[in-house]
Amino acid sequence: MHRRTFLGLTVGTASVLAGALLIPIRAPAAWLKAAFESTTLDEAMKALFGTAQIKHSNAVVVDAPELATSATHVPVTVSTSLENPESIAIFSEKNPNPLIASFTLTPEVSSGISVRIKVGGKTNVVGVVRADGALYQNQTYVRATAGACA
Amino acid sequence: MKRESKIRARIKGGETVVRVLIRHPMETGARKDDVTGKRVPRHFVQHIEAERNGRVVLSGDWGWGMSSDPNLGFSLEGGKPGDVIRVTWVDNKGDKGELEAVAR
Repeated sequence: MHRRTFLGLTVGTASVLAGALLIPIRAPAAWLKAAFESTTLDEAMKALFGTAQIKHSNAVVVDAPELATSATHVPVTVSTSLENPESIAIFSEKNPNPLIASFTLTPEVSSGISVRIKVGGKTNVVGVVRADGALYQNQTYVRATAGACA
Repeated sequence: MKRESKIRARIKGGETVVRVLIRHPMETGARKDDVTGKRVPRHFVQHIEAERNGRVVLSGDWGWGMSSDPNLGFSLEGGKPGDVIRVTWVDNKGDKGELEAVAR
Protein backbone atom coordinates (compact mmCIF):
# COMPACT_ATOMS: atom_id res chain seq x y z
CA MET A 1 0.00 0.00 0.00
CA HIS A 2 1.31 3.42 -0.98
CA ARG A 3 0.33 5.61 1.94
CA ARG A 4 2.15 8.60 0.54
CA THR A 5 -0.25 8.81 -2.37
CA PHE A 6 -3.04 9.66 0.05
CA LEU A 7 -1.32 12.77 1.34
CA GLY A 8 -2.05 14.62 -1.87
CA LEU A 9 -5.75 13.81 -1.85
CA THR A 10 -8.42 16.14 -0.60
CA VAL A 11 -10.77 14.58 1.87
CA GLY A 12 -13.92 15.98 3.37
CA THR A 13 -13.71 15.25 7.05
CA ALA A 14 -11.27 14.05 9.66
CA SER A 15 -13.18 10.80 10.02
CA VAL A 16 -12.94 10.16 6.30
CA LEU A 17 -9.20 10.83 6.49
CA ALA A 18 -8.80 8.42 9.39
CA GLY A 19 -10.65 5.78 7.41
CA ALA A 20 -8.73 6.52 4.23
CA LEU A 21 -5.37 5.68 5.75
CA LEU A 22 -6.62 2.18 6.48
CA ILE A 23 -8.16 1.53 3.09
CA PRO A 24 -5.90 -0.52 0.83
CA ILE A 25 -7.42 1.08 -2.23
CA ARG A 26 -5.56 1.71 -5.45
CA ALA A 27 -4.65 5.25 -6.43
CA PRO A 28 -6.90 6.64 -9.21
CA ALA A 29 -3.88 6.90 -11.53
CA ALA A 30 -4.29 3.24 -12.51
CA TRP A 31 -7.88 3.80 -13.67
CA LEU A 32 -8.51 2.76 -17.29
CA LYS A 33 -8.60 6.29 -18.70
CA ALA A 34 -8.18 5.50 -22.41
CA ALA A 35 -10.87 2.82 -22.33
CA PHE A 36 -13.42 4.96 -20.48
CA GLU A 37 -12.80 7.98 -22.72
CA SER A 38 -13.14 5.97 -25.95
CA THR A 39 -16.06 7.14 -28.06
CA THR A 40 -16.89 3.93 -29.95
CA LEU A 41 -17.45 0.37 -28.79
CA ASP A 42 -14.58 -0.93 -30.97
CA GLU A 43 -12.16 1.65 -29.66
CA ALA A 44 -13.19 0.99 -26.04
CA MET A 45 -12.77 -2.77 -26.48
CA LYS A 46 -9.34 -2.31 -28.08
CA ALA A 47 -8.27 -0.02 -25.24
CA LEU A 48 -9.39 -2.59 -22.71
CA PHE A 49 -8.50 -5.89 -24.37
CA GLY A 50 -5.97 -5.04 -27.09
CA THR A 51 -6.42 -6.92 -30.35
CA ALA A 52 -7.42 -10.20 -28.68
CA GLN A 53 -10.37 -11.89 -30.34
CA ILE A 54 -13.71 -11.72 -28.53
CA LYS A 55 -15.95 -14.67 -29.31
CA HIS A 56 -19.71 -14.55 -29.12
CA SER A 57 -20.95 -16.92 -26.42
CA ASN A 58 -24.34 -17.81 -25.02
CA ALA A 59 -22.50 -18.73 -21.82
CA VAL A 60 -22.41 -14.96 -21.22
CA VAL A 61 -25.83 -13.64 -20.26
CA VAL A 62 -26.68 -9.93 -20.34
CA ASP A 63 -29.94 -9.44 -18.50
CA ALA A 64 -31.54 -6.03 -19.07
CA PRO A 65 -35.11 -4.90 -19.74
CA GLU A 66 -36.03 -4.77 -23.44
CA LEU A 67 -37.96 -1.59 -22.73
CA ALA A 68 -36.42 0.56 -20.01
CA THR A 69 -38.62 3.13 -18.34
CA SER A 70 -35.73 5.26 -17.11
CA ALA A 71 -32.73 5.70 -19.39
CA THR A 72 -30.67 6.94 -16.48
CA HIS A 73 -31.29 3.87 -14.29
CA VAL A 74 -31.34 0.74 -16.44
CA PRO A 75 -30.79 -2.43 -14.39
CA VAL A 76 -28.20 -4.72 -15.99
CA THR A 77 -26.88 -8.07 -14.78
CA VAL A 78 -24.00 -9.77 -16.55
CA SER A 79 -23.50 -13.38 -15.55
CA THR A 80 -21.71 -16.38 -16.96
CA SER A 81 -21.61 -20.14 -16.74
CA LEU A 82 -18.02 -20.17 -18.07
CA GLU A 83 -15.38 -21.81 -15.87
CA ASN A 84 -12.88 -19.56 -14.10
CA PRO A 85 -14.24 -16.10 -14.96
CA GLU A 86 -11.58 -13.46 -14.32
CA SER A 87 -13.27 -10.23 -15.34
CA ILE A 88 -16.59 -8.78 -16.47
CA ALA A 89 -16.88 -5.58 -18.52
CA ILE A 90 -20.12 -3.78 -19.36
CA PHE A 91 -20.60 -1.52 -22.40
CA SER A 92 -23.51 0.48 -23.80
CA GLU A 93 -22.82 0.71 -27.53
CA LYS A 94 -24.59 4.02 -28.28
CA ASN A 95 -23.37 5.97 -25.28
CA PRO A 96 -20.97 8.85 -26.00
CA ASN A 97 -18.43 6.77 -24.05
CA PRO A 98 -19.47 3.10 -24.32
CA LEU A 99 -17.46 1.57 -21.47
CA ILE A 100 -19.54 1.65 -18.29
CA ALA A 101 -17.61 -0.55 -15.86
CA SER A 102 -14.95 -3.22 -15.69
CA PHE A 103 -14.79 -5.67 -12.79
CA THR A 104 -11.98 -7.97 -11.71
CA LEU A 105 -13.27 -11.15 -10.12
CA THR A 106 -11.75 -13.64 -7.72
CA PRO A 107 -12.84 -17.31 -7.60
CA GLU A 108 -14.93 -16.38 -4.55
CA VAL A 109 -17.40 -14.46 -6.71
CA SER A 110 -20.31 -16.62 -7.86
CA SER A 111 -23.00 -15.83 -10.43
CA GLY A 112 -22.90 -12.34 -11.91
CA ILE A 113 -22.61 -8.63 -11.34
CA SER A 114 -25.67 -6.37 -11.14
CA VAL A 115 -25.55 -2.60 -11.65
CA ARG A 116 -27.72 0.22 -12.93
CA ILE A 117 -26.45 2.19 -15.92
CA LYS A 118 -27.26 5.18 -18.13
CA VAL A 119 -28.05 4.38 -21.75
CA GLY A 120 -28.35 6.63 -24.78
CA GLY A 121 -31.77 5.75 -26.25
CA LYS A 122 -31.83 2.45 -28.16
CA THR A 123 -28.65 0.48 -27.82
CA ASN A 124 -26.98 -2.85 -27.41
CA VAL A 125 -25.77 -3.45 -23.88
CA VAL A 126 -22.70 -5.66 -24.23
CA GLY A 127 -21.09 -7.89 -21.62
CA VAL A 128 -17.56 -9.23 -22.06
CA VAL A 129 -16.24 -11.97 -19.80
CA ARG A 130 -12.62 -13.07 -19.62
CA ALA A 131 -12.47 -16.71 -18.57
CA ASP A 132 -9.38 -18.95 -18.58
CA GLY A 133 -7.61 -16.14 -20.43
CA ALA A 134 -10.03 -15.99 -23.39
CA LEU A 135 -12.68 -13.34 -24.12
CA TYR A 136 -16.39 -13.97 -24.68
CA GLN A 137 -19.23 -11.56 -25.32
CA ASN A 138 -22.97 -11.39 -25.61
CA GLN A 139 -25.45 -8.53 -25.81
CA THR A 140 -29.03 -7.44 -25.22
CA TYR A 141 -30.85 -4.72 -27.12
CA VAL A 142 -32.37 -2.10 -24.83
CA ARG A 143 -34.85 0.59 -25.79
CA ALA A 144 -34.98 3.41 -23.30
CA THR A 145 -37.98 5.69 -23.46
CA ALA A 146 -36.11 8.87 -22.52
CA GLY A 147 -32.54 9.57 -23.56
CA ALA A 148 -29.70 10.10 -21.14
CA CYS A 149 -26.53 11.95 -21.88
CA ALA A 150 -23.98 9.55 -20.51
CA MET B 1 -26.77 16.51 4.12
CA LYS B 2 -26.60 13.58 1.74
CA ARG B 3 -28.80 10.56 2.25
CA GLU B 4 -26.90 7.54 3.46
CA SER B 5 -25.29 4.83 1.40
CA LYS B 6 -26.34 1.28 2.21
CA ILE B 7 -24.89 -2.21 2.26
CA ARG B 8 -26.48 -5.55 3.00
CA ALA B 9 -25.05 -9.08 3.12
CA ARG B 10 -27.28 -12.14 3.50
CA ILE B 11 -26.41 -15.83 3.58
CA LYS B 12 -28.77 -17.56 1.19
CA GLY B 13 -28.60 -20.97 -0.50
CA GLY B 14 -24.90 -21.47 0.21
CA GLU B 15 -23.95 -18.02 -1.04
CA THR B 16 -23.40 -14.59 0.43
CA VAL B 17 -25.62 -12.16 -1.44
CA VAL B 18 -24.33 -8.59 -1.27
CA ARG B 19 -26.18 -5.43 -2.25
CA VAL B 20 -24.53 -2.01 -2.16
CA LEU B 21 -26.02 1.42 -2.81
CA ILE B 22 -23.71 4.42 -2.92
CA ARG B 23 -25.08 7.94 -2.70
CA HIS B 24 -23.18 9.77 -5.41
CA PRO B 25 -24.19 12.23 -8.17
CA MET B 26 -22.20 10.39 -10.90
CA GLU B 27 -22.05 13.53 -13.05
CA THR B 28 -21.17 12.80 -16.68
CA GLY B 29 -19.73 16.24 -17.32
CA ALA B 30 -22.34 16.84 -20.05
CA ARG B 31 -25.25 17.96 -17.86
CA LYS B 32 -26.01 21.66 -17.52
CA ASP B 33 -27.18 23.11 -14.25
CA ASP B 34 -30.88 24.07 -14.48
CA VAL B 35 -30.32 27.41 -12.75
CA THR B 36 -26.91 28.64 -13.89
CA GLY B 37 -26.88 26.98 -17.34
CA LYS B 38 -23.27 26.02 -16.71
CA ARG B 39 -21.91 22.56 -17.30
CA VAL B 40 -21.65 20.49 -14.14
CA PRO B 41 -18.11 19.06 -13.98
CA ARG B 42 -17.61 15.32 -14.36
CA HIS B 43 -17.76 13.70 -10.92
CA PHE B 44 -17.98 9.95 -10.61
CA VAL B 45 -16.94 6.94 -8.54
CA GLN B 46 -13.85 5.63 -10.25
CA HIS B 47 -12.80 2.57 -8.31
CA ILE B 48 -14.55 0.21 -5.93
CA GLU B 49 -13.34 -2.77 -3.94
CA ALA B 50 -15.18 -5.39 -1.92
CA GLU B 51 -13.57 -7.44 0.83
CA ARG B 52 -14.72 -10.45 2.82
CA ASN B 53 -13.07 -10.74 6.23
CA GLY B 54 -10.24 -8.48 5.08
CA ARG B 55 -9.50 -10.20 1.78
CA VAL B 56 -10.33 -8.48 -1.53
CA VAL B 57 -12.90 -10.55 -3.44
CA LEU B 58 -14.00 -8.13 -6.16
CA SER B 59 -12.80 -4.83 -7.59
CA GLY B 60 -14.15 -2.59 -10.29
CA ASP B 61 -13.27 0.45 -12.37
CA TRP B 62 -16.27 2.61 -13.16
CA GLY B 63 -17.01 5.41 -15.60
CA TRP B 64 -19.70 8.08 -15.63
CA GLY B 65 -22.10 5.73 -17.44
CA MET B 66 -23.02 4.20 -14.10
CA SER B 67 -26.29 5.60 -12.75
CA SER B 68 -26.47 8.31 -10.14
CA ASP B 69 -26.64 6.72 -6.67
CA PRO B 70 -25.04 3.64 -8.25
CA ASN B 71 -25.74 0.16 -6.99
CA LEU B 72 -23.71 -3.02 -7.10
CA GLY B 73 -25.01 -6.52 -6.54
CA PHE B 74 -22.92 -9.68 -6.43
CA SER B 75 -22.77 -13.04 -4.68
CA LEU B 76 -19.87 -14.81 -3.05
CA GLU B 77 -19.39 -18.56 -2.75
CA GLY B 78 -20.18 -19.87 0.74
CA GLY B 79 -19.94 -17.63 3.76
CA LYS B 80 -21.35 -17.70 7.27
CA PRO B 81 -23.20 -15.32 9.55
CA GLY B 82 -20.71 -12.92 11.08
CA ASP B 83 -18.54 -12.57 7.97
CA VAL B 84 -17.56 -8.94 7.49
CA ILE B 85 -18.19 -7.54 4.02
CA ARG B 86 -16.49 -4.21 3.44
CA VAL B 87 -16.78 -2.02 0.37
CA THR B 88 -14.54 0.98 -0.28
CA TRP B 89 -14.69 3.44 -3.15
CA VAL B 90 -12.86 6.49 -4.41
CA ASP B 91 -14.09 9.06 -6.92
CA ASN B 92 -12.27 11.20 -9.48
CA LYS B 93 -11.97 14.06 -6.99
CA GLY B 94 -10.33 11.81 -4.40
CA ASP B 95 -13.38 11.60 -2.15
CA LYS B 96 -13.71 8.21 -0.49
CA GLY B 97 -16.37 6.09 1.08
CA GLU B 98 -16.46 2.97 3.15
CA LEU B 99 -19.39 0.66 3.90
CA GLU B 100 -19.45 -2.40 6.09
CA ALA B 101 -21.98 -5.14 6.70
CA VAL B 102 -21.97 -8.20 8.91
CA ALA B 103 -23.47 -11.13 7.00
CA ARG B 104 -26.56 -12.71 8.48
